[in-house]
Amino acid sequence: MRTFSVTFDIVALNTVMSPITVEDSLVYGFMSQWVSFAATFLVVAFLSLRHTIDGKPRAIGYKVDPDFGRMSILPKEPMKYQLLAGVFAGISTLSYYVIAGQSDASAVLPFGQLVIVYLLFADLMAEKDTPTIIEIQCITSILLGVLLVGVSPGGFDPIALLIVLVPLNLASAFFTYFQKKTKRYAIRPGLRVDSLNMRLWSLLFLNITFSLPAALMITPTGWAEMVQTFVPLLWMMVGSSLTAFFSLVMYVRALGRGSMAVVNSLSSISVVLGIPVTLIGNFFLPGGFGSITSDTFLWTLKVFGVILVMIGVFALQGSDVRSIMLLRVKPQTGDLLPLLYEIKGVESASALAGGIDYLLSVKSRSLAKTRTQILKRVQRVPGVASIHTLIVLREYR
Amino acid sequence: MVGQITAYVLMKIDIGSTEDVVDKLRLIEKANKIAVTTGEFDVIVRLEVDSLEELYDITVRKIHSIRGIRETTTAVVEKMVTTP
Repeated sequence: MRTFSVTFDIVALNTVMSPITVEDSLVYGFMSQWVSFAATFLVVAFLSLRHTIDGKPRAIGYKVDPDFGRMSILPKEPMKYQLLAGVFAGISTLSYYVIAGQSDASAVLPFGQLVIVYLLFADLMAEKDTPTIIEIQCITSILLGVLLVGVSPGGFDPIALLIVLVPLNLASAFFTYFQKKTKRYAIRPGLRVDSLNMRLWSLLFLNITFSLPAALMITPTGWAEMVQTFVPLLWMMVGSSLTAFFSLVMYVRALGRGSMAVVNSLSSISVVLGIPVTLIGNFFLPGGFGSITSDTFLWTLKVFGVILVMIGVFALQGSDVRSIMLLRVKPQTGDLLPLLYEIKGVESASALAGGIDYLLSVKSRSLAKTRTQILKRVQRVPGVASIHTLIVLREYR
Repeated sequence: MVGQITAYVLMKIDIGSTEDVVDKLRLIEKANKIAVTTGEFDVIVRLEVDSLEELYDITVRKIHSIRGIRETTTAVVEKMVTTP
């Protein structure tokens, strides 16, 4: 979905506005973002319609996200997170359109993956922990990969690289952080903020943040171009909006489940698709998917770059260690479930009937971290009498 | 229909039988997670069933009939906190 969304943008820019400038890209971005908001509003309104699911009247959107009831204003706290997420997403989006005006899909997709490095750093800082060897390997691999993907016939473009390194990905990391905070916010026991309303509100705040500087940068010629190109580009913008909508809704739902870095690493499959989409697309629509250099050496470097990014993200995902902790508690101990679930790394906590009192499903980056970051915190919970840690060797779902 | 009751079945397996046991456990439709572990238990299965009657059927008729399982402990979940 993410690949298709970026591809729609690149094709729109290269077919209707070719040869493109940064201003053209911003003009397209301005139109595309507000078309996206209108499309999202209509989709969420449609998903708010009620019908019977499992014998109960529920919104159609329940099938997309079981937390969804109807289109609504979020409670104060998650709305504050969404405002912050939207502001950072606006900064990232502005950078994205600047880069999209200069690159092809095969470059834009890996550029966006640099966010994993920032999220990994954020995870490490939150845990006050030193990185493992595999984490350092992943960071190095992704950084080098992104650098190689960004090469052009004249060498590196320092301005583009700076945009990628700072506003594009740093703002994207903050966006992810606030999205995750919103998704984990419990409105009431068993009900969390739904990803459909999250997308609607964050997109509104994103568009306001993006539109203000973009409007100042667009000249009168640009506004005139907007009027001329709106209709020819409409179907591309709707395509981009719908694919972006579903990719982000699925992404937010995944964020509620796993760590930020790992969720992003899984979404990185879009990187691999960038090169074939660019090459095959240009075969059918020459120039429509971005300018392609005939320099074999340059393409070899780009392919190496994508491989390095992929190795980095898959190694990060593959290095996870899962454990199950079985807890017995002392007599007259109260409910420990909320305390246990609050421990970072605990994915689910179950209170059991029988000889074992609690079962925790735990995930961490290494066995050492399972001990230092999670087990020690579980041991400190008052009332815990014994813990059996079982390391998961293989898991079937 | 989504299961109403969640239970964990913790198992001790005869040496050399883990693969065969896991293959048979994977055939149980309501077993939505199977983990092969180190430590006190060798395999943990998470079941999501509609009733205690169904849990009884699966544990007694299906799981207990699998060769290689030495001992099982079934723990019914009273409350679970997890992300959606």
